[in-house]
Amino acid sequence: MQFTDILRAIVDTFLIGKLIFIFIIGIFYRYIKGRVSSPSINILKYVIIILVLRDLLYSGLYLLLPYINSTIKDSGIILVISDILIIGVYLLWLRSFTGKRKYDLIFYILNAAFFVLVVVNLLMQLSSRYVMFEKLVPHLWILANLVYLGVTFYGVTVYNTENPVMVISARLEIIRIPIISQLGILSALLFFNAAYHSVFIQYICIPFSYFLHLYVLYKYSIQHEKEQTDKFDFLQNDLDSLFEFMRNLGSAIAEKLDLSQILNFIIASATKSTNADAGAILLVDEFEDILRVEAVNGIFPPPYDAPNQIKLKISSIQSYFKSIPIKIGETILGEAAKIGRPIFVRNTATDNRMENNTKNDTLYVSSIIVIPLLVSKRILGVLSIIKRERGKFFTENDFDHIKTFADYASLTIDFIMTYMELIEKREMERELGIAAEIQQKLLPSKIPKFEKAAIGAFSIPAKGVSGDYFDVLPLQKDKVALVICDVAGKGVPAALVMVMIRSILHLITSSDKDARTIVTWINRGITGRIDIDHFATLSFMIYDQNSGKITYSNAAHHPLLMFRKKTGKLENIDTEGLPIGIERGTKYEQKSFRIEKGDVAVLYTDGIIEAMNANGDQYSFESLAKVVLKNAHLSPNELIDKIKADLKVFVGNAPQHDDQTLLLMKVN
Amino acid sequence: MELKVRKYSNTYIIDVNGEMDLYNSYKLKELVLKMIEKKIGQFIINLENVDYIDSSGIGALIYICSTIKKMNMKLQITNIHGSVKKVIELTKLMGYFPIANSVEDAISKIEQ
Repeated sequence: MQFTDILRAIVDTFLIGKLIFIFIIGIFYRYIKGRVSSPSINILKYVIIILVLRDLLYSGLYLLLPYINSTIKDSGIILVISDILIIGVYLLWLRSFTGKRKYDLIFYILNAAFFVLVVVNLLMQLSSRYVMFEKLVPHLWILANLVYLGVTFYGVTVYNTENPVMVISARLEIIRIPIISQLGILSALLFFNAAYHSVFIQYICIPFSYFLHLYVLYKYSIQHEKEQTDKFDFLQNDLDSLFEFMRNLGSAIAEKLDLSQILNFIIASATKSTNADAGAILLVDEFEDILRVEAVNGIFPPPYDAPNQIKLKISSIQSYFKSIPIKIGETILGEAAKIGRPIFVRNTATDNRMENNTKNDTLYVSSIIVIPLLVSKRILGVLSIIKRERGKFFTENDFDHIKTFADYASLTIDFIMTYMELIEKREMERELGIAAEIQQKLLPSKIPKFEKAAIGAFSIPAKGVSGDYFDVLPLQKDKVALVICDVAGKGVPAALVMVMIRSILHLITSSDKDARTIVTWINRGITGRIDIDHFATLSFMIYDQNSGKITYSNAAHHPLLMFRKKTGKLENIDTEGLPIGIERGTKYEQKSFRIEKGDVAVLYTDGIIEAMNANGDQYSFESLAKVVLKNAHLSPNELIDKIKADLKVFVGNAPQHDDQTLLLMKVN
Repeated sequence: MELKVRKYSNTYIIDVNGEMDLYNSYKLKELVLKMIEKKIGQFIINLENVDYIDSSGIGALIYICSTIKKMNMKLQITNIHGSVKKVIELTKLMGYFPIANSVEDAISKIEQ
């Protein structure tokens, strides 16, 4: 082999030119690959590998041919095999858009069989003069392959392929260029009896076919540019429409805070800004795992089957959808609420979750997007938009847009819900103010004085209103009644309960009724006339100054605390019975006992012993008992001052949580 | 306060989370009323995660309890502890409320 042989082989096969061409394709490929996001471009690198290998192999074989003492006159076999491989690569490339197709297997099997035949043919050529086929057959085979490729490429439509733009825009050349190149080679072989290494084939037909790869890469770069401008335009539009939505929503909220109205507004805006045919918002039920349809814009067929007579009328479909809740996890809407991630079904025909909506009836939906409404991982519901026209689908841009939109919408919905709760709370607070006024009028303004009993009291409401009530009633025959009462709940209803208790008390308390009877009557009078959640605990005692006896009855209040001067000890006195207002038939008990001079009876409410300091510790019954024990020798007013002071030292600057009321009586 | 509802066959278990006070006890009441409207008839109120209850909370429980009793439906209150238990004891309502130690206990009582 001489240098001139090598040179001749290189010149004859146009090797340098082809390699430069492939090099340019390679550079272009690298450049585009760095910019385009689509992974489909990666497949094209096999084209470059095949081209380099085949050109080197072809030239090499061409160089060696004269030295192989055989019957092979041409190395065209390499060209044929590489062409078929390249067709295979483009088929793979197509499938990266459309997804795999089973019938491609036939293509691979037939071509594998063809390769076997070619090899067999080659071996026969080497061993004998007999060959199965001449050059014509392989090229017809390539053309047949190209026809198959053409059919598959032209089978691509917007309906069956996710991103068909690249395929559709490049397919004409993907088929045309190789066919022209093959026809060129074929006619040269047939009509001019040319060899593969002829100038026409090597310098024109083969390099021409390389333009295809450049062309496809060029299409990628165009698509990339378009994507960039689209993205920018989209972002601009997205922001514009979102801002408009926020502004309008703001004024809608300012006008009237009505959740269902706001939801309707949100879904109308969502539908409009994505050019959807209909939209719906479903919210998660408070206590069941279901979604309820809260707002619908346009005609939104349910993603489940409906009875035939309902399918006949559009309006029935509408009300059918609205009236039936969807279980979380069921249907495409329930699924989005369950997994908490958006679902985009571009073409319902390709997704079995939408199989009820693909027939030719009123349920038809062509494209659907479902977005969960999330606020800090809590799922409020889902927002869904649909297209109902055949052949009209949502795009990735629509999907991105509605995601941003739903994000904002969920925050708004959450905000409104929270705000409504706040308003409710504020109304409650205003009500408390009114109640405080009523209540202040109920407490005795001046505590009456008695011959054998000195009485002291204090009542400090928390936050201006108290559920506590106390009273001192002078009765005939030198008797005196003391009552302390804690009504559950606050606000006007609680204050009214207090008014009722006070009225009944003043009405029925007389010298000839004992404590038990009075408590029983109060309970009968109250039960059934008030909302049952406004119950009251009540402690009642009557002191007979003449006999020195106390009769005491308790309706689930703190027991009566008695200081006995004689023993210097404290006693808790309690009787059985439910709070006032729960059961009409509650039986109350009473205890009677004599008291002596210097004895102290103390009645108090929760607020005293449960008063908290900054550490969250409670003042406790023990502390109260200790102060009473220590200061029992003082006058009632002095004793009250001591208790108040002790309580204040304990609580410090901590805010008061509950009403504090204390009533005490000392026997003179 | 947060309310969560789960279901065990026909019984609805309401898990109460947080404090039951004047400002939120009405929520529990409303929830139960809504559930009753929907023909739900077996309830368990789980107070495992309630560490504080005030008289409004007790009021709400009394309301729920008496409504459910009146309608001949079933209720169990479970996992009362700490200060909640103290308050219920103090108001002498231990006997009034249908109380069970645990949710499992409550379920078996309801299903009897």
